[in-house]
Amino acid sequence: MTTLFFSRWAGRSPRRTTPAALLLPLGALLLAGALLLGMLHPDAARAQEGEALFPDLPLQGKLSQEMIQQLGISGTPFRISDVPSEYLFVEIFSMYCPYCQRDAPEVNALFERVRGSELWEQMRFLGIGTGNTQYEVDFYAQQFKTPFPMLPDEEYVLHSALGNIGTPYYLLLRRNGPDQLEIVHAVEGSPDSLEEMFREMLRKAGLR
Amino acid sequence: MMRFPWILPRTCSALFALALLLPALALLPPAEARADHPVRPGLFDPGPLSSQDSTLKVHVGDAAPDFALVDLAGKTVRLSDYRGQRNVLLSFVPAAWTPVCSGQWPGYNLALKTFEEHDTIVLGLSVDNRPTLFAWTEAMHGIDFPVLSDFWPHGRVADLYGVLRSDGMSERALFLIDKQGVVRFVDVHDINKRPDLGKIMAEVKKLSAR
Repeated sequence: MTTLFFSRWAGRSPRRTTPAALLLPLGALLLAGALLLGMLHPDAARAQEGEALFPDLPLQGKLSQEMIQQLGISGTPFRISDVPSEYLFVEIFSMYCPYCQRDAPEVNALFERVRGSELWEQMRFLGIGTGNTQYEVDFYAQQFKTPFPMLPDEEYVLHSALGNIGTPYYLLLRRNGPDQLEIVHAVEGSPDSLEEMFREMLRKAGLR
Repeated sequence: MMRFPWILPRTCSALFALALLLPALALLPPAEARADHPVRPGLFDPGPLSSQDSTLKVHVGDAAPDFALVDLAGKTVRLSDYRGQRNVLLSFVPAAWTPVCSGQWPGYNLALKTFEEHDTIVLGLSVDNRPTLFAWTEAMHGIDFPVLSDFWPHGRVADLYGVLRSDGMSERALFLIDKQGVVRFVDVHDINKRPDLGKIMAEVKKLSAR
């Protein structure tokens, strides 16, 4: 029946098909295949710095008043583009990720250095717990005395939008106009040196 | 002009149908879309599995079957060693070097102090052998609670509790046992998902408050 339908759609008798008639469906097939690969392959879907915008999805969860003020937002839910600072350092983590746990004190130290520098005028930090509940995010933040806001992505919404990234995943974002969050630099996995990674982020942002 | 055999238009139509179907397939979520995983080369992703594949033999209110297994240091650990001393949380995980399992015990490791504050010890059980468990836990930067190998006779303890799957792995299961050796909480979780620490802690706190 499908054959019949497409034969009719093509407007010609099956016996009169020529090589040219194959070009259209073959082309469509190749295009569809390319689309499929692009959409399903995690690496292909992964957000790439300099050429992709960060998915500006709504973030939900509980934040203390202090953390709300630190971000400069009115409350939750909010979108990352609602954060008024020009740059945002984002850490995608999981409470269950041993590498995130190992990095946590260093990320805190990085935050404190930024807070004590002129960069604080332009930059804020945000942690997003992928696949973590509010309890798990709070537990992690409590264990490591995290001094910046952390929110859950319990249903893996952002995680999927970013291409099913592994943890930890560090990004520096830059606001390029309303709702435009450019990925300046992104690093998947625990780097050999967080300090070095951050310097590279600043270099790419033209901040140092 | 050259005429093509009758099969060509059918091929042509089939290609068209496939071309239409492929983008539709792309709309389906990828299998791993809902599993976070630490970036670690060498993890094996078995893909989605049937959520449960065993028949539970131990229920809330039952006496927990005693067992003796060897930990990674070669020490024999008996469940009855904790009788009258501590509540025990048994955590069965299906297999070493897989994404969800690799993202479960490190969280309990982080929460060990909280478990201890509520008079509870965690025992991790896996049907993997000791060398495998040693390498795996080292890759996770070490696990500070006893990790017990239920490798031989294969999955005997998992089977005793009714959480041995037909493929030889265990379920992702939790049993909370009180100081009298009575089972107070059971969660045979969907093997593809990680149990929420908040719910486990609520049960642990409830038990320690008795």
